Amino acid sequence: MSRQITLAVLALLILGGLFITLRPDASNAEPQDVSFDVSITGDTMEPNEFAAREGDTVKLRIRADREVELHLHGYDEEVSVTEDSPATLNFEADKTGNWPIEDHETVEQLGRLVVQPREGG
Amino acid sequence: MRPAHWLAVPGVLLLVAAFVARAEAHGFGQRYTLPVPLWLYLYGSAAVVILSFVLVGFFVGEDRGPGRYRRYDLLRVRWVQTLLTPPALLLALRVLGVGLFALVVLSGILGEQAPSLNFAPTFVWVIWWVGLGIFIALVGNLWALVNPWKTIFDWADALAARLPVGGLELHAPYPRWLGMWPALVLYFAFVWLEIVFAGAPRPSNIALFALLYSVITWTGMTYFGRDVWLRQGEAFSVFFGILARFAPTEVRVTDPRVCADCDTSCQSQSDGCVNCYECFEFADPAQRELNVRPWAVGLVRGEEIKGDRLAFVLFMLASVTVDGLLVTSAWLQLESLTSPVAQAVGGWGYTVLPTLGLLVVPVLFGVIYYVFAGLMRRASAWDERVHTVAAGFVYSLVPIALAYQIAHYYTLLLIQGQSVIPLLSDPFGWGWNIFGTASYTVNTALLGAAFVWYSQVALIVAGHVIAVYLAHVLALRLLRNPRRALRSQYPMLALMVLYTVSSLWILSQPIIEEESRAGLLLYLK
Repeated sequence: MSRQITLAVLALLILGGLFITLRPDASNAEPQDVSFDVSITGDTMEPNEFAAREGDTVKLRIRADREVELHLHGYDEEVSVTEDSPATLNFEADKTGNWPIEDHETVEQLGRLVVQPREGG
Repeated sequence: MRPAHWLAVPGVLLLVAAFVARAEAHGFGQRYTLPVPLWLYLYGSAAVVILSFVLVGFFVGEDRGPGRYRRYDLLRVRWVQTLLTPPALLLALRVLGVGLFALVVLSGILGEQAPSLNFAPTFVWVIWWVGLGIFIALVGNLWALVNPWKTIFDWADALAARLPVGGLELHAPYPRWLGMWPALVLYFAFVWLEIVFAGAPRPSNIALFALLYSVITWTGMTYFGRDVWLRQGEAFSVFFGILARFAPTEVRVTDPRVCADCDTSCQSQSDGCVNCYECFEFADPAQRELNVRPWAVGLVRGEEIKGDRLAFVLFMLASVTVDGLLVTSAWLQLESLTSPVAQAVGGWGYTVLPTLGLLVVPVLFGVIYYVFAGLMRRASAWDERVHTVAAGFVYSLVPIALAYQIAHYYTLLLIQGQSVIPLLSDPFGWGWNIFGTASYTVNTALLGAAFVWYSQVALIVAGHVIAVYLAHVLALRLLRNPRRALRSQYPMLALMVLYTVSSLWILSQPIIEEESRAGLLLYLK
């Protein structure tokens, strides 16, 4: 019985130590402001992937060659862009995950916002 | 009417459905999770290996084999008995099962065809397939009670009993060689629909397949007898029955003589037969038990597993892996190599490669498993056929597949599953609001990405630990000699580590979303 307890304790120590070693240091940088210039031509969005860390303030400046209504999943942000009036989306990236950005009318996915967790990401 | 005529109609409908499906399938089953980061994948793999050694260390020198597992009969507890056994409750659950089935078919045929507006896709693919599966594995076999095909057949049979017909079942003798192969074929078809077919989220397809399956099931039940078909041909009863072996509850008939009379040759041992619902219905209340037991012990009762069941379990395990594989970038590269051919052929061309995957990977899985079974046999100087070894241990792999399935799909259940709340109020998408919940919006940010990562890895590691333990229990039971049992486990351990690490690998792969990908898999990673 004591052998098993020794094994268990040893395993816990090794696993704990390994976890601490492998895990990346929580990002010591302060939450940043990140902004992206986006242009939509037809069905493509350039760039179509935006990366941010949890807590960052994200600004997307969007231009389009047609009238399009964009929907950002998760944050439930909606913004209308037309040829003459580009739009800006401003929000705090407080929800981690892989968030699609879609054309609200056609339900086609145009791009995505990836928000990495601050700790261990 | 000649069978060919019957096949033509659904065949044409299928073809039409597939092409129309693509445009509307988008938007269903959206996933928001991030792939497990590399450091956590490495940590998980290391943890799996380390814990495997630790478990071996635990088992070394263990002399006593495991006894019968502990169980406690809930029916002996007064208030539980009054709560769980009234016929009214059981009837209500059965009616609910039939009602939901009818709603799926009706909303599939009549309702709005956009998957996110219709009750059928979310209920079938998320609540029923994922949700009920997890419930059955973690709590108990609810399906045996609420199976709508069983209930409807029972009602029709009871009605027929009153008429000169005298009952529906013909009780034709079931050919022994046929075994469980019908269930496997039907299950294969179902998995193909789930992960390859582009039109799977389309409500009318779901209704169509439900009706087709009903015809097949009721024909089988009528011809061979209800319970025989449930055990040999009804794919979901077989599938959920295997999951139910993991569950912490069981029904048991304690008198082996009742089991001996069983139509379906349920495997009874000296302590009775477990989870044989036919015997349970038939037996005297004094001989019935509804037991609580530890998780996973139902997998190691040491029952005999013949080739057909072995094939079913192996396919079950492999299909879980294929499901995950089809959305990895590695697979996508394979697809891009062959896509010119697929494009030339047209719509159905895109299904060829995933279908091949669904055929080849399980065969490969089986071959690898047999190789390791052979190694186990050699390592322990075991005087049995490889097939016997393979069959004896196959259930011990179930926890690894189950852990991956839960890790992979629980987020879908918690997020997309929420949309069943507004859909219950408006199942057809016509603007109804029966229960007042139609305006409920799904909270997509319910789970943080980091929480999901840790829980997924924890689940997979736990599944592995349980699997290693089960295999050891089986080895002791089959070999009796602790030292030989331990030696037989080294190859098994290597196999399990490989299996578990590949599950972790799949979870660490970036999610692929591409318009050219066919099927539900695009939306259900």
